[in-house]
Amino acid sequence: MSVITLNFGQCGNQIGQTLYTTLEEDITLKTTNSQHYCQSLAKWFNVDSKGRWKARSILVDTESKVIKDIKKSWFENIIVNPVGGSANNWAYGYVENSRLVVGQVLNLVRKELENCDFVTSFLNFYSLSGGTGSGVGSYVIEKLRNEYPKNTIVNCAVLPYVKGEISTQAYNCLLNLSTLYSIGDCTVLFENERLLHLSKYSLNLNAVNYSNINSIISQQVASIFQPLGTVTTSSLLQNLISHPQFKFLQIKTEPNISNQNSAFETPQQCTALMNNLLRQSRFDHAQTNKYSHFKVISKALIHRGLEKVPEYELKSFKETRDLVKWLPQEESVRVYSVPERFCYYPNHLSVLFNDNNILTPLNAIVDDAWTLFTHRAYLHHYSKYGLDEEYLLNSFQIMENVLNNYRMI
Amino acid sequence: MSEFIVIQVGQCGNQIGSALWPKILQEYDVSLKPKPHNKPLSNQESFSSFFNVPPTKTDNSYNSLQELVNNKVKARAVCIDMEDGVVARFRNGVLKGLFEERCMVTNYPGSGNNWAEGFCEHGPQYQEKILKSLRHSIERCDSLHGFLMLFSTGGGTGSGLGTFVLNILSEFYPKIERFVSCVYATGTEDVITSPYNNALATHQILENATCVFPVENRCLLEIVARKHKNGINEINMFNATDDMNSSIVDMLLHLTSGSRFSGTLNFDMNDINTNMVPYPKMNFISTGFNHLVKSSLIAKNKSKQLKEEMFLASCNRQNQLIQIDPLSPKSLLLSSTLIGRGDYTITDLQTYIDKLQSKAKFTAWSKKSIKVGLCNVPPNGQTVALFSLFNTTAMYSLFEHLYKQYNSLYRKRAHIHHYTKINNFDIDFFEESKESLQDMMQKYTELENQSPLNIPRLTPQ
Ligand SMILES: Nc1nc2c(ncn2[C@@H]2O[C@H](COP(=O)(O)OP(=O)(O)OP(=O)(O)O)[C@@H](O)[C@H]2O)c(=O)[nH]1
Ligand SMILES: Nc1nc2c(ncn2[C@@H]2O[C@H](COP(=O)(O)OP(=O)(O)O)[C@@H](O)[C@H]2O)c(=O)[nH]1
Ligand SMILES: [Mg+2]
Repeated sequence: MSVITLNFGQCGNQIGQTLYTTLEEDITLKTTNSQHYCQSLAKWFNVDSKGRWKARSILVDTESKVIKDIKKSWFENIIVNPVGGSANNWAYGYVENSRLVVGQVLNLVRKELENCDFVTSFLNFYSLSGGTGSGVGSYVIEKLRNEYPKNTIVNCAVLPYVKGEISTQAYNCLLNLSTLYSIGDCTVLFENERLLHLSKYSLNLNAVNYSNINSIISQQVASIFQPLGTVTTSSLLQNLISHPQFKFLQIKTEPNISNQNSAFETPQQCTALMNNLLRQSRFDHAQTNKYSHFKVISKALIHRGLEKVPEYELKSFKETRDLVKWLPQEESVRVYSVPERFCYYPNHLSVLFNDNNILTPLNAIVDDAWTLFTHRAYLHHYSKYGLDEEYLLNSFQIMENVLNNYRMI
Repeated sequence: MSEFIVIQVGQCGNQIGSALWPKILQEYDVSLKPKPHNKPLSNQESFSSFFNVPPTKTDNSYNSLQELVNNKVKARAVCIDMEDGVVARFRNGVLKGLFEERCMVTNYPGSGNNWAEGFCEHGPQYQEKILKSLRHSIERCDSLHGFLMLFSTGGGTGSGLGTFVLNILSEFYPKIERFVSCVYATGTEDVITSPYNNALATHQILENATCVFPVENRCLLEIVARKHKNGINEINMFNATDDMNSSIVDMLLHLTSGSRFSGTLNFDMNDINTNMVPYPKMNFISTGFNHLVKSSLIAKNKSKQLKEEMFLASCNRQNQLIQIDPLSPKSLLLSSTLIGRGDYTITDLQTYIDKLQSKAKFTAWSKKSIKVGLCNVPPNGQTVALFSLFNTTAMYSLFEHLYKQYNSLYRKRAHIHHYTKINNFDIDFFEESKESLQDMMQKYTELENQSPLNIPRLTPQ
């Protein structure tokens, strides 16, 4: 069972690099040639004839500066068509720049697939708010789906700060989400806002940079997608996405630390970690959506470590009142345990949620985009590439429908 | 790496150019005088943004201008003037050899401070020659991202021929962005007909530029006066041109920094149009940064306080190159950009966004029209710098100023025979330009008075 990652734009490529660093760290901490070591290595890396590790990863950008800064020699599949970026414009990325790279990407995917022994999932990384990741990503992933209708496609998408960091971010997010929602098997949402908050308070950092946020994202992704014993990535996800109307996932993990040294200062026992996870959830509820009560469609707890999670902790995890009524509890809550440490943590917990918390950030995006749209602001940058008002209205409709489903649960 | 072609037209444009190139060289640690020790260029990857290095040359270790010249490294510049005084400096002065002879288009004896002479006479006359120079420069680019045009609007050559070239660019190279930094000679009005030239040029700029970064001489004069702690009276165009132009040059270097240097949240030059221009033609953008950086204070200091001072300075009305106040309670911000250069973090930028959003006034939709960026490389000699861009309805006052000055001449039809006597000059140019200015004034006023629309979102189906 292997994974190919596709990384689009600055955000995608920066996260991609951190992810493989985290994976390398985790894999090398395992007993060499143990089963888990071999499984993990085979899942993410090709080993070439000289014994060098090569990431099963394809990096795509439309400007050269991010890719140029890559230090590691793991990455060989690099596609840069240096047109100076996609101008923070989904339409420019989707309509024009995607055409410059899509053929090469699909070729490299085919090449990578020849090197895999097993069924493969695709893990795509990009930010929703720019032009390359969001726009080029949308187009390439559509084509990827066409060519590989049966493989699992997981989109890992980064949401921008709510207060604004790109004038057109709301449009770009809207256009990407409405294009890809029906295409991927699921979309894992990462909120920069929440991650910044987590970095500030959990890690006690005064000055947060993308490297901090990206290492949290990477650990979250790795802790979920590293081999889970006999459970495959696709069955893990299938269990969580029981209904095609609810395909957004979010991850919470404990502990979150920024470097190995502080690993010893954070709690290591499962009970303490469970408590911290709860505390993170309370942050959500503090700012939770006004639209509906908190409801969980499904969730999965993954424990990696040697200690056993105490029964009473598992019981309280399983028996929360927030679960939807239309799924039997044993289908909506799952627990997986892997008796292997993750990175340098003696115990590590991650939870994948499929719940209506995503309403808060997504509703804000649609709101912002709607405000711009009704005042006709920034529309000419999109109509230049043939995206007229009709096109945008259609995207709004798709997102309103998706959000409404979440409001109704 | 993103490449730019600098097109400098007229006396002003070429004088800015002659201040720009030495500063660019300084950024890459290339000295104008021969230097003994050999070390690689700093920031060498981005060297090709402004310079064409022959393909045979790979090691990029230049220390002095002389080495660049010996290795046939050329500035990506097209220098156009209808006099040869200033451009002669590129041929014979300190920068000798850095510019391509075939990218210099000159003539004698100028355009008589008459837009019509530049636009209607010299334009068609030199079109082929200019196109040739452009083609030559473009062929030497791998990934050309923009033209950077420098000229003043008050004279004849920069104003008339400059806007003519701008039109050529948009006709022949419609997909390549056209950035214009134009100097309005407010406060240094030495040309009687400059109100006409300003208006006629501004109209063309509005029609054809992607983004405009206007500069007013009166703002530059004040900045120079503050630098020297003198009253404004003692400083004038004659003794301060170099200082004035150096502020413009700093602005241009900030502006292109994101395309040239990496950053964990980089901003490319073509992000500017998307982020800063909410409606067509609303593309006159104010630029701000701290002009009074005392090198002694800056050298080692990276403190939070210094970073914040840089931010505050960049929003301060005294540091804008146009006489406007971005934070004025009387005008509305349409969009803003904050670029942290050097040791900034995203937490810093978040704090500044909060401050900006609480201090300034916005339209119903523009509060989140913000772009932030991080650039690893600070300006030469500084550890940190913050550069900001503002699109504000206060820009109304620039158009109003141009309109009033224009009208006070045109009402009496003063001097118009200088224009009408030129072949191909159409009296409609006057009317169109006037309407263009009025139209801009109206656009800003409408935005200020726009009442928020509360149209309900679509109902789910
Ligand atoms: N978490 C995280 N977010 C990032 C990172 N880099 C950029 N972002 C976010 O991504 C968005 C900007 O998108 P980019 O990825 O820079 O844009 P792009 O895909 O390269 O597209 P263009 O630059 O417009 O061509 C902003 O919301 C940033 O906050 C990163 O390393 N980590
Ligand atoms: N800031 C600045 N303004 C200038 C410079 N040179 C000329 N100007 C202004 O530009 C106007 C004249 O334009 P000029 O460039 O001399 O005319 P041209 O050669 O016909 O384009 C005058 O009003 C000057 O005040 C300069 O180097 N810097
Ligand atoms: Mg980018």
